[in-house]
Amino acid sequence: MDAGKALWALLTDPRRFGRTLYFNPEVLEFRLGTDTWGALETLLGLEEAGLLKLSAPAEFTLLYDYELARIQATNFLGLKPYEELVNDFKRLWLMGRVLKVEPPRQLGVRIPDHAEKFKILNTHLNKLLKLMEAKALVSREVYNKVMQSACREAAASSKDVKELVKELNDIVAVTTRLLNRVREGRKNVEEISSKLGIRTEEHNDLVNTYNDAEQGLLYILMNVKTKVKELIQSWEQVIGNYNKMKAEFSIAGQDFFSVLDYIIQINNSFTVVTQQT
Amino acid sequence: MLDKMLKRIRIELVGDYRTYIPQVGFTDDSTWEVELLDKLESLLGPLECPIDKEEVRLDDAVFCPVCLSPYHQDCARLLASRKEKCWRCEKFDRFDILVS
Repeated sequence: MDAGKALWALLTDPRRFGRTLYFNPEVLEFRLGTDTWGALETLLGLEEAGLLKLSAPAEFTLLYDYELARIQATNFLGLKPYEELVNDFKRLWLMGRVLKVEPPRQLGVRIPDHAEKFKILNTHLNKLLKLMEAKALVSREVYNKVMQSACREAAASSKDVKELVKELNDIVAVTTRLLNRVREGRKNVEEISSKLGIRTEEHNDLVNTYNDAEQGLLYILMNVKTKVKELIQSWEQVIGNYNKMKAEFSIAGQDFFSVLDYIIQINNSFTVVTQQT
Repeated sequence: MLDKMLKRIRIELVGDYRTYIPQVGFTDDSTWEVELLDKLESLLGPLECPIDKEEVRLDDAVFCPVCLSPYHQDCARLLASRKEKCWRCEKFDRFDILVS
């Protein structure tokens, strides 16, 4: 890191006012001979050396959380190859350092790598649903025997995917919460604008950014919905028969019930968002 | 969205940066800006206008804000009237706000 070069660029920046200035991508790119994010990394190095203090407006935390959710969801759902996301992740990591938040160290697991596990779970869920339908057609002994074996298999496959479904539920919960925060943020900006009686360029930018974030979050939820229905094809039937399944297959164990509960929670979040939209 | 956020990052110079730029020779915090101006020429070398290749005096200089290339006031006015970019960095094109 060429500290002298970076400091010289800051000291001679025409937009500097006293000891403060705003990040000037064009100037820093040219003067440091790097790209914008490389320049920010250099400045973060200077901050660590105690020469600079970097800060960002409070509303950036929300936008940071949005970007983090977007990248994590994209990675988890496998919508983009890992290599394409690494760059976005690095940028987010740098922004996290500016905001003084603890950025995540890695991107985490990807659902496509575990598609087979979901396929097995789906097979077992289908088996249980069919078993419920056939209950009246077979003797109690036969039903119990088949049910015990199906429950064992369902429990084993649930154990394999429990953490993944939990992660999916967390993504949906975080996205839904962010959606509310973004809408709240936009409402606040609009209230301030109407109280002041003027709409500044900064307010317009913020409202546009919040609009983009809202669309981005809805897009994440849409992708999650598509993915879960693709992975668990019996999704709708499981939701429709949730109470019946819980009562009927009580021997399937905690992992199985956790998976069912997560599925219901995810579905409830989708319903709430659909009603709001 | 992250790119849009960058421009609103506030930078404050807080530490003692004199050791990092020894050639500037700051005296103390109250006069460092004056020192900086005085030493500009020694840091940038002889100030030569990219347009007419003539030497530029500090009191007649207009600096490109991106690359710090020095222009004569008249040469900068010429760029402003033609809406041309800086001849060196080819990034800055608003010389009209630098010359009266």
